[in-house]
Amino acid sequence: MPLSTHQTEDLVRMIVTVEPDAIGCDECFGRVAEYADWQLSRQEIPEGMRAIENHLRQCPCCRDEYRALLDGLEAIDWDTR
Amino acid sequence: MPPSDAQSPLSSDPWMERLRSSEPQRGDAIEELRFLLHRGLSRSLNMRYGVPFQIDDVVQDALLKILDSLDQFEGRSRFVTWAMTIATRVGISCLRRQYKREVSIELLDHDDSLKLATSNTGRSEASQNMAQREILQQLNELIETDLTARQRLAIRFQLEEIPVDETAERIGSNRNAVYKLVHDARMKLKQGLERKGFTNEHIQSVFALGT
Repeated sequence: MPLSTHQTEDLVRMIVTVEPDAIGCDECFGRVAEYADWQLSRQEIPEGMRAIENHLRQCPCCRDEYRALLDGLEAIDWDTR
Repeated sequence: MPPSDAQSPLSSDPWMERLRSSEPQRGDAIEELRFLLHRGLSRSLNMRYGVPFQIDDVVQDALLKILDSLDQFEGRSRFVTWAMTIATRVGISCLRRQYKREVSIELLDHDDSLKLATSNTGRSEASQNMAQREILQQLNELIETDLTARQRLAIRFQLEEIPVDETAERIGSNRNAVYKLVHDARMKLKQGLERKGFTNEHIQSVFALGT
């Protein structure tokens, strides 16, 4: 069955937005807590964390989990951490 | 870890000390952590994907996984942030299993799993339709010549919004490998279109894609 119009547009979007990605999902998961702390601290993200940022842009699955992580962390009073 | 906490050595992390101490300190720490996970996951996962879930079960599973993984905490983040990454993955994996869409595997396992309809997207002017058709025809060729059957299938699963963990299960792989498979395919298609003279800007313009 051919792709629907919507799926075709999604595929084209997947193609035009792709960038080289130096890491995979496993490495992202191992470092994403540190990245979240930097982001929540509202300080400038260090250069070494840019690979995480890039992977989160590329990977819908990790991005979805990261958004949920931020939602959860915001629900936990920062002072209790 | 942000600079404000950089001076805190891992050995003095109060969470790690309490979770590795004897009772009753350990039990108190576990209950405190359970409370925080419950609060965080209630907010982040409630009705995500439109499905309800048993928060107490997810928190319990997450807690066990966190306690089993304490040796992996390297102190590069706050402890609760680290714990929440594990809990979030446990919770989302649970939700994704429930959300599992019924997509016919037989339907998608054919060689044409990523066949594009090259008519047009139906929302554009005639000249734009022609430009879209031209790109889609080239794209169809590239899909056939440059991608493997596994890449075609993995992309189709993603377009069907099948969770990556489930895709990995169906094609006998793991999440990291599926991501690489799809990412490599996206890069090949992008480079292939560029070789044929279609720039990103042109494609975005023809399909009126917002970035």
